[in-house]
Amino acid sequence: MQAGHPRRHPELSETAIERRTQEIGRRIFELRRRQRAGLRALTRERLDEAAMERVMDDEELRYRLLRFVDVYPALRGADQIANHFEQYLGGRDGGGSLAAMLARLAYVVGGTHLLSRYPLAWASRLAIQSVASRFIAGRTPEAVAPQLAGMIREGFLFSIDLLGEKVVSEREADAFAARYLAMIENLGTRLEPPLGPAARLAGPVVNISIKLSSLAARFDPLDREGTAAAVLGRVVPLLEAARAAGAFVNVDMEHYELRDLTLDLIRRLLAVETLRGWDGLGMVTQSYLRDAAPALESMLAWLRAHDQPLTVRLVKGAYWDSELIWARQRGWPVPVWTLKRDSDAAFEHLSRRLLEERALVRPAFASHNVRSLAHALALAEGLEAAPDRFELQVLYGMAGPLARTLTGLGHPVRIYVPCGEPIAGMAYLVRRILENTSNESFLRQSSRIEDEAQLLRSPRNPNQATRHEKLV
Amino acid sequence: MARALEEFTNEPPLDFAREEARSAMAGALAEMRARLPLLAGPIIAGKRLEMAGETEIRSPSDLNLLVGRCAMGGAAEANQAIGAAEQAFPTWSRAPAPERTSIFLRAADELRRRRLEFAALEVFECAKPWREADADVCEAIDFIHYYAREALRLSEPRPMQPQIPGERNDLSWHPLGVTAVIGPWNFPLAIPVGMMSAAALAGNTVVWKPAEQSPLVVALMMELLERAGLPAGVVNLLPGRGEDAGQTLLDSPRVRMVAFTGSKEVGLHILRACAGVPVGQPFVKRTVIEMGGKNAMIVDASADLDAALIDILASAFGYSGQKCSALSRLIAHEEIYDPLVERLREGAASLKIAPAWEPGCQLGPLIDAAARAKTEGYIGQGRAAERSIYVGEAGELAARGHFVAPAIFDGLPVEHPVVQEEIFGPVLVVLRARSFEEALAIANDTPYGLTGGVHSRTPAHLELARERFECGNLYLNRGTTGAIVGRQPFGGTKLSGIGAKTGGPEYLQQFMISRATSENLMRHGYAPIKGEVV
Repeated sequence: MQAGHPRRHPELSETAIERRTQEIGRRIFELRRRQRAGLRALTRERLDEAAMERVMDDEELRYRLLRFVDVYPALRGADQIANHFEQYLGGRDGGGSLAAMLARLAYVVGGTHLLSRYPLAWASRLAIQSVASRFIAGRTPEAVAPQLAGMIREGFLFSIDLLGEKVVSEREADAFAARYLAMIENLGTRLEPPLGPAARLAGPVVNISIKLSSLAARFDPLDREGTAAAVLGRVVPLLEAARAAGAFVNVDMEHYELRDLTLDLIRRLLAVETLRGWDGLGMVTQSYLRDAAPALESMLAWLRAHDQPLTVRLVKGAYWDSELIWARQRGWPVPVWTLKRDSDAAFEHLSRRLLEERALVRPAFASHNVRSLAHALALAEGLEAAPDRFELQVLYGMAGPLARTLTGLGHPVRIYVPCGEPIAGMAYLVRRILENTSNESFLRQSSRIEDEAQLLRSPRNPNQATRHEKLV
Repeated sequence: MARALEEFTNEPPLDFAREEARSAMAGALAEMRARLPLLAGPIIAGKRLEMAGETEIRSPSDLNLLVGRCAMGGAAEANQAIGAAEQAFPTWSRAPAPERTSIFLRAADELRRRRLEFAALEVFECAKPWREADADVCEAIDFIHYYAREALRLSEPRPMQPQIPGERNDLSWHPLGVTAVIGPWNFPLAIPVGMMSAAALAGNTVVWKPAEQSPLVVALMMELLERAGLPAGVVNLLPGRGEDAGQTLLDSPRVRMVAFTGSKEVGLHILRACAGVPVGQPFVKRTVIEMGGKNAMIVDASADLDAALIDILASAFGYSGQKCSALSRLIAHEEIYDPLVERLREGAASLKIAPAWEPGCQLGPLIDAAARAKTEGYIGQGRAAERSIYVGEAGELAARGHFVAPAIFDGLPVEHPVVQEEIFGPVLVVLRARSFEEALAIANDTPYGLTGGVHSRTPAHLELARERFECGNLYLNRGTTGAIVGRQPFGGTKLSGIGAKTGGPEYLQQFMISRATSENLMRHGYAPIKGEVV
């Protein structure tokens, strides 16, 4: 970046960045407190938090609750729901149990005592639908469009994600491609241009996130060429359509086993004649991966060599539990950091690298962790990155007050909006609940007495040896 | 000599997401292809027999590819092998257990070092796709490591309880004698190595007969064992046919035990043959017999269909269904029957049929012409009943190798041969159940009892399956194949086999005699009294 300018910017010293991180962090906390105070005590958001609170300290209950949520969409009728509720969560009474929570919820909302099975089924349906609708915006892009328009009016950007069944056949891959294409072609017609800080970003309004594994019957890292042929056959026309329609497409990252294959496919895509030079494509870097930095560096080198722009969404990563379990099952090295502070520190290192390379890539910092965001913002200041050269991202339903705080501070904020049928959405929903009920969760932090200094502490501080838990 | 053994862990499979692993395997395949055809034949008492008349081993993926030539032993060679094993027995059986285990552990180390070479040979000889070939070599390594630990454990007499002053009671374990090990071709290294290493680590000497279809990978292993320092005659390699070499082993009064994995027909024949006591045989032959399966998976109304589909496709069509653990009867709850079958049809139609050496191969050929003819016969019967959900076409590959495309049938009566008989090919039957209880009853309505699967998120149904599913290996919410040594001991019940589970804590004892020894420790009224006297 600064070749030919060996002068080190004074604001870039570790101490200066750390000082600014603390200042920005405290400011975010303060503004967010005001945002939260505006929420009335019994809004849905608050009610869900109370429910989450009860679940988080009881590992066994949490596990049973997740399994009940997981099976819920497969259940038909009140009998089946009541029956499964009883099997997963029955007999676990007491003040903190979910049964009591659901009972109270049913009482508060419906004025019903849970004397028979049917109100119980009804109560759990209500509770799950409420949690699901908090994290999943709607069933179809069409149904979600009014909400997207609302977000834009509020000054936010969005990226829409299609939740769907696992693809096991060519026909299903075709169907997924058709759904993506419909979004690319139709969504723009329903939306107005963005306002506020979001308007500064020159990028397209329509922004969709896709999973390459949904575009092939076999998405197998063993068969690079076969997989590439199948995926490129479907994704190239999609991206060509996006380029023509002025839409942005982000390639989401999934499990570690698919990471290198996904990066390889992105490189192949960018080398396609009709896509070369296009700046409407994005990728994801997951900081919880131990080898996130070298993987990013080799991508940066490739982009530099090919003079190719790309957006890079920096996240911590959402598959921590599965990565750990699969690695243990196969006897492979665990690919993720097992201490949370290592993932956080990697996030900060990668933030710096992305901002340093902002002539090449457009960074998108996706986190709900105030420290991580404050650090990225402090770095952006120190590096004098123009506010339109990077963006912040949050998940739908997870960080309303934080998102409003960040736009209030003048930063473009993009909301990642999942939509899909309830069955397909359960895997996503379970991941969100896992995060929200973990010790490290943002919601937990926000629902307890805040120790801001603690939350803003540098991840390089050796006293921060918390077990990893889930990441936000 | 004895080395301290760390706790047993499974050999990790290769991570083919890594470029190094993919290029290493591609390199190993190229090297192996350049070495073909390999030559093999009987190795008895450390000597390679010169024999006329060799059998050609052609790759099932491409019959033009000659993988090797193997001299097949007959009755004479079988008797010679038995003699060699008999001669080696006194020294080997009396060697300290740590001495025996260290030889085998050296062999396991060497196999680990050469794992790609062995996997590559399996790809050519048996048409195992990459991952399956690699997993088979890993399992062979696991078996050696697992049984080595078991052999050391059983080498110490175990004191019996309660202990009483004045007497010492213990249980000790001793080798049996000459053991015939007759292996299958579908896990061409793991299963023969598992049975052979269990027998030899227990202190027995072995006549090792690989399947006619896959003698080359076993011969390569035999050379590896020799290089690891296995004394001549402890294991004698006897490639040959069942009718002559195999039958001679069964009839010999000098063979103490037969360990077999293969078809039900041959397994039951071995049991009958071993029941007889020929003149000069002062014992009843011991048998460990692993046979086939007609394995069912139940998909309940509450199942996660995404997960179920992936497991069904892998369990029914992995290695073209040529696993005794393979899924062949899918029992679906009526509530999810239609969407499941629809997605299954599309999933099966999307499987990539290819020669096993291609990285994209999901469905390779069957092992030989007989297997193909048999499978095509069953597919014909299913078609005749006009109940096909999907019957694929192997296309031009069918002319190159023994390829058979997947077939799925439904609505067949439960007594139909396609529903009842083991096909050992890519043929799946779907049956409809109105309740979970009915599904369990259908699942158990088979003479076999090897693996069983359930996809359900109803805890009471999983519990019911644990209690009532008549099978040796029950898999809940996962696929029904790929048992892992140590973690998932493997073996069936009913007509699927007799004997303890492989890769489990009861397996090695089967290759041994237990002796309870009681010694009177009193001398003129005195014996040490341990512990507190109340």
